[in-house]
Amino acid sequence: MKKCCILLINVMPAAVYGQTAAMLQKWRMDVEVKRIMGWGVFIAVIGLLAGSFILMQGKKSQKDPEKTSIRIGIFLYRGDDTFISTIRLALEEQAKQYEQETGIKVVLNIEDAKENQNTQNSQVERMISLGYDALCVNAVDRSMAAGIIEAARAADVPVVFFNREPVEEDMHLWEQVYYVGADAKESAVLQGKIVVDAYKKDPLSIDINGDGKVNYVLLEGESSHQDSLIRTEWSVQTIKDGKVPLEKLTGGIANWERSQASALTQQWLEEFPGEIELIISNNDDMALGAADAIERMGITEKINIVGIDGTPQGVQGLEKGKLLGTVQSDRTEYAHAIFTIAASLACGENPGESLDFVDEKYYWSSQKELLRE
Amino acid sequence: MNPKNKLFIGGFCIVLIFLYLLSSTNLILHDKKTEILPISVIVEETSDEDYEKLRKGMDRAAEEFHVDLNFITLYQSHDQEQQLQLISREMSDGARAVILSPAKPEEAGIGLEEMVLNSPLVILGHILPASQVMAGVSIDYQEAGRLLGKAARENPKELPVYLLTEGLDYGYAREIYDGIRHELAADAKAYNTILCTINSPEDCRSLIENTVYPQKQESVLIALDKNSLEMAAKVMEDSTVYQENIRALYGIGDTTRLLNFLDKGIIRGLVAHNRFDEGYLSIEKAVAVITGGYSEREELIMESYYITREELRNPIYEKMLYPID
Repeated sequence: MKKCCILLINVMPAAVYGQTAAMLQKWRMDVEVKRIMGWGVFIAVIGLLAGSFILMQGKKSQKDPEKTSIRIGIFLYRGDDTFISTIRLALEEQAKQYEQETGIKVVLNIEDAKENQNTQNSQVERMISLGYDALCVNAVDRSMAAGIIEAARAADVPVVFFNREPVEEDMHLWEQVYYVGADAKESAVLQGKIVVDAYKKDPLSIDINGDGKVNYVLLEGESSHQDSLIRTEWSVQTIKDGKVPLEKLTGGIANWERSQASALTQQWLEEFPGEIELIISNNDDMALGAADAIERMGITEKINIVGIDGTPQGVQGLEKGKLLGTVQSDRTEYAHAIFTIAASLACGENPGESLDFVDEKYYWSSQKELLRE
Repeated sequence: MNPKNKLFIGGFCIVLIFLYLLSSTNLILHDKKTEILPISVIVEETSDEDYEKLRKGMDRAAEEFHVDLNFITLYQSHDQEQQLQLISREMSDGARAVILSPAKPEEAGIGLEEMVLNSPLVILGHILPASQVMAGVSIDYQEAGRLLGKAARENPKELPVYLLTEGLDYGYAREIYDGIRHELAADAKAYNTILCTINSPEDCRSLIENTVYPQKQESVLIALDKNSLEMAAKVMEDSTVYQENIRALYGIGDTTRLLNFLDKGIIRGLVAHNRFDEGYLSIEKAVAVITGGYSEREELIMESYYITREELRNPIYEKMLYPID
């Protein structure tokens, strides 16, 4: 185009030349203006992109320096689980105590998933979208925690799992993930110790018929729950190590539930009449279910029952003589740990300053034996 | 590269940038922003455990009406002063409406008249005359009391009727009391009603014990609130002697624990309400008030139902008492 114009100018008469030169000058200027404008637009677009990127990054890293309120979502796998409901009440108490001590308003929203992981996922998503500061999750399916962690990470909302421990791989997906629980092995060893101590004190209190062996049945929690397997293994092992001559009659899974345990125990009592001397239960609710079955069937012979958790109902069972013993996990400490981690993270603080973690992510609540007086 | 190609590539790049901006940012097309309405609910207890059905209804409505729900319990049960402080706090913290279940309705009414509220107030469960109240989902507790009184009339008039309460000033106790008295005094020969204030499980135990020792006297119990009812049911559960001596226990409430007592036959009859609907409607009304749906005070009265053990499995009551999510 430019070459054509120059050629045209060379062959033009002088009168036309001046006019054409002026046109050419104007055209050159137009081209120059357009070029500048083009660059301008290009720079503006780049600037716009960079600006929006910086803005987005800024938004992500922005932290409220002085929080006057925190919002914490609590997600329960099943609200009517006795142990979980005691933790729920303790969490409410913790939140109120924190509010009174610090003056920071605490919005605690408690959701019950009713044993449905999809329900829990949508509850978590809803709280994230409402801008909650921290999530405390009692996962329905502990092997499905990755989805919750990913959603929380995308929104930069820290997660504290409790009672149902996610698999180790998931726990390491993000540094803002913590777990609070009771050490299952410790609970089981303490439960076993209750039986061993009673046997050492008076063998006939455990070996009731005095035949030199202690016939027992075993009530187990959910097969997918990490504590269930560990409690079963270490409880029996501890009793055996304590030289109690154990002999297993049968066992079954009652999914932590009193009613299921009651039905199973009734079945076993009918199957092994007068033979069962000891019932080892993975938790108090199932232990009380076994006691219900014994009471319902009108059995007057002594059968020892041991549980774990030390729920108010379990402790009441001890007082009434239904249980031989239980292992109580300190629910105040348990809830305090969950709440402290969540509140610290919500305020942008390091929970490690006030709590001692194992492997930087795990907090184990303390436990103690409770015996029938 | 010829100019046409340059032009084409340039244009293509611009289209790409435009598409990027269109799809990844909010610069060109703005997302339709849904307004989230923060609404606070203040109840009279220290835990939300007994509000399961109410919360289910509220949660359902919250999802439908884009509400950010803040369910607040008290440091101490029935603390009316704290409730009033919480109303102020929530409103100044940006709650677009507050739903209140008053701990002591009379005190609440007086307190509210002295307050300047920035947001609308919706009352749950009671009919409050306060001018600050924009809407309410109420229960006619006198009617509930009449239903309980009517049920108690199936017992002989010679039996004393003990009316158990944590205090007539708390919650709806006074209205229920009036309803029961009205019903039991309806005949020429009225029932002998005795009002007993129960502050602890021990109070309840000693009251029931007194009907057995030193002198055995068959009696009828009516609890005016759910806490008294639960205490009485627990005491009776522990002893077959008490279960035989207390001819019937009636009360109001619909918590899972109370329904279990009804199912076991420890409680003879319960007055219950559709708590799911109550929760749902309270949020619906709060949203309507916020969005200017009502020009004047809007009040709705929920129906009361008397339910016995036999009727517990009736599909209508089952749906009401055990709502599915």
